[in-house]
Amino acid sequence: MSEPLLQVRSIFRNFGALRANDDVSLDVQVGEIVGLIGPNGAGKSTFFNIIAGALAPTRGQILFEGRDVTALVPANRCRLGIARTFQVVRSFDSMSVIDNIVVGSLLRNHDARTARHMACEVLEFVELEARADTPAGDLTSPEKRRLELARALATRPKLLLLDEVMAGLTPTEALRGIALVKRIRETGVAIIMVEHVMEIVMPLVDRIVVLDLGKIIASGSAAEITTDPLVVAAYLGDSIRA
Amino acid sequence: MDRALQASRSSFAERHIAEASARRRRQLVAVALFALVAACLPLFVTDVYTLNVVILTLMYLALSTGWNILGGYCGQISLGHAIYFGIGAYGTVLLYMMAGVVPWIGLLVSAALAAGLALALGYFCFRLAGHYYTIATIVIAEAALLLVLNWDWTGAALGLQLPFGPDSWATLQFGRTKVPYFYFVLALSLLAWLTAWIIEGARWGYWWRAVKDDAEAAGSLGVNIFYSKMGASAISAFFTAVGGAFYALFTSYIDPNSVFGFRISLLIALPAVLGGIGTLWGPAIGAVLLIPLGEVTRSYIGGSGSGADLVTYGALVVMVSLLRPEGLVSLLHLRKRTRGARP
Amino acid sequence: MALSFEAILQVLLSGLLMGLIYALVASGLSLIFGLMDVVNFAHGEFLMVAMYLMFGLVTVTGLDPLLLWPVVTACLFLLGSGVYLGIIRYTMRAKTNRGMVQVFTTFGLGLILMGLAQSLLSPDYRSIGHTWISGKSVSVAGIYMPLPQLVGGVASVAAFVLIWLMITRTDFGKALEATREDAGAVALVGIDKNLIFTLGWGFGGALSGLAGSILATFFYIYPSVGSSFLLTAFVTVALGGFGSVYGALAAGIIIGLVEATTAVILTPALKSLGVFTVYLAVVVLRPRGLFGSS
Repeated sequence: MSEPLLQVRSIFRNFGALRANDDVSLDVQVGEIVGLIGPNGAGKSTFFNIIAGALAPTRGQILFEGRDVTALVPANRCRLGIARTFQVVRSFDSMSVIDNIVVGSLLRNHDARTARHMACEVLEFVELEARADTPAGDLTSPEKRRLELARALATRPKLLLLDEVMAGLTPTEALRGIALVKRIRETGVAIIMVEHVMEIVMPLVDRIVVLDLGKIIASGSAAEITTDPLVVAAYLGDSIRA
Repeated sequence: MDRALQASRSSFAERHIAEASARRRRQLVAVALFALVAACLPLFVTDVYTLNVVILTLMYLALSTGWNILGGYCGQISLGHAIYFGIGAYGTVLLYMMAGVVPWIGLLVSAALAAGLALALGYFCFRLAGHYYTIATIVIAEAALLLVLNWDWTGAALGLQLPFGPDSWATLQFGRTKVPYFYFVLALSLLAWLTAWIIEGARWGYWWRAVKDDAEAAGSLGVNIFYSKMGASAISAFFTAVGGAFYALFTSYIDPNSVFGFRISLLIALPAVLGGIGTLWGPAIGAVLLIPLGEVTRSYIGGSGSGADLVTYGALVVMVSLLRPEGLVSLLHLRKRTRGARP
Repeated sequence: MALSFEAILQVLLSGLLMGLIYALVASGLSLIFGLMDVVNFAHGEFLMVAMYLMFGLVTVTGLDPLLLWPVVTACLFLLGSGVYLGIIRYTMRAKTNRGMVQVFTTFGLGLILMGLAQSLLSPDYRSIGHTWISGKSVSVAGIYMPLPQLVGGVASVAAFVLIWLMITRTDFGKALEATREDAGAVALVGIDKNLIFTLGWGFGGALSGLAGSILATFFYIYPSVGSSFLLTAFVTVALGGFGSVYGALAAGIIIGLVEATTAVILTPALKSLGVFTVYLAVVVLRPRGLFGSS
């Protein structure tokens, strides 16, 4: 197998006395979709933000295409090809929907006209073209999720980090979201998606990684994971804790 | 990715881009028309007082457009732009008086100096977020005022009087008529507007607006937040200093309070806030409303000590902030917005 | 310049007393900021209103300012909470340009208050002539302490003790702490956020009311008096750490001492220069303030 796109090596992250990530390692291949799941407080978000560059690890190393990116700020990681969405949706509310996406597409196109052209295409890809000139602040929250995805896609990432993009969607919207992620996957972009609900990621991903209490407790196909006693215990524990 | 995008290449993009460029062309046509009408004003306005108000209005229009580049597009609210205004004014006058540098050169030198200072201050201040930044701008401008007030070399509190010379475009001195100043400041406001227009359509403009709305999200899209703020700050300071230089030449007398004072910072920021922060026409609309209104309240209700103009400014700014945070310019888009916004 | 030991002590002491008042002015600003991340740019004008109120009450009632402290403080409590209920509450709803909205609503309010004072009360300087304590002083071991400043300093310390008791001993204090930790959690605990904010603005106003009452006894009263104090308060709060009320106390004292020493070393006209220098040092070295959390 060729060199992995992303190599995360032994990440530790402490918050005071709490160890949110405890020796977490993960490889992602080119074009692979990895689902990152786990009960509340498992350290998913911490791990996600460390890969995105929003949080610095206490210890550990992150390689992207063989290059050490551990010290890079999110903007520079994005230049290399790592894009992300946010758990709590973030849009540039005073700008129109299309302009939101242009912000992303300008990364690869210095000329605003070509950037706008590309943004239009991405907009169609996420099926938001009817809202092109609407201020982003006026979108509904599922629309904002799609806008966020479009913005991230417009930076032409090689790796896309999706943080609970399906959270809060109605079943119909979630189906639409799943179809969208499938289309993204067809374009060859590797994806790491964090989801709290296991059912959503299962049909989408090549591989599931389960975090609990800051450690990876299981990794494998959807079928392997659902029968793994450790995972079952962790999720059972979660439902009791909750 | 590319393959899928290519497959979806459609008339939508072409149509949208055609519309967008048409919109930008219309803006150019509109400003050309305004400029043409404005250029004819001296033919009708012969009264010295009115012409004075018109010139000041255009000056604040240019200044506020410059302020808007940093405060509006990039979201860094400065209430200390008087420091750049003062540098432009003092720099130009001092270079002329002490070294005989013609104001055209002096103006560019001081503006470059102001831009440099903006970068130096920005290097430290842009680590401060939101309100902390605004406070820093106020305190630093006040410190500059205090220094100039007590610095004999700059004439201290007495200020500086430009030596009288013959009317000339070379020295930008006109004693007999104010009309040349009108054309100078009209050109300056056009230049400021054009800069804003170019920025709006360029990479920086998009990135700055993204930084203003959500810096972290902008960073996640590859935008360098710090450089964005620095760039916006330098351009903004440059125009502010040119405005200051103009003011010094126009009034031919400056003192610390009239160019470094907080009132200047305020009058630079308020038009943009009223008209619409981060919009192309906002500062112009704001200045055209605010400056004549302030002058009128001042002259009809009482001298500048009476405070009536402060009440007017304050009331306007509170009302707009509460009722129309997007600024008065949004009233023009009201129809379009309600049509497009509802799902 | 050779200074005697007494003279140095004298300078430090007057700096300390003024610093305590700066701390008091800054504490209200810091309280509101800590509570809801809003800088009250009209805080200086609150102070100005308090001073004029004191002046007016003394003129009308003929009572001594000392007796009127509680009245002015209570009035400013009402002003503060009224401003929250009438204006600030609505700025929290702004969808776009929220930072700008919060700066310019309080700022515009300050302009209105200052403008009103100028047009209704004239820009003249006023002062309260005779009080029980004015013109008197205490002299200990050759060091001379003007009584108004001394009483003001003591009152400021007392106010900080009261703030401390309020934060540590009352339900409001606990709610206040909870709100500044996490505004979202407050809703869960069932604390009425609006009530807390109203009270917070009330206390912020009351603190400027007390500071204004103190200042009115020995400082000139004029429409823009608030601006210079607000500037000092900004520096104090930046030094002490935004949102930290105790930080404001320590920082206020430092600022008072720096100002008094600069006035002696340079000239009184440049006394603020030392203060600004301290501010710049803070911005460069410790942007979160001396006592602010990182």
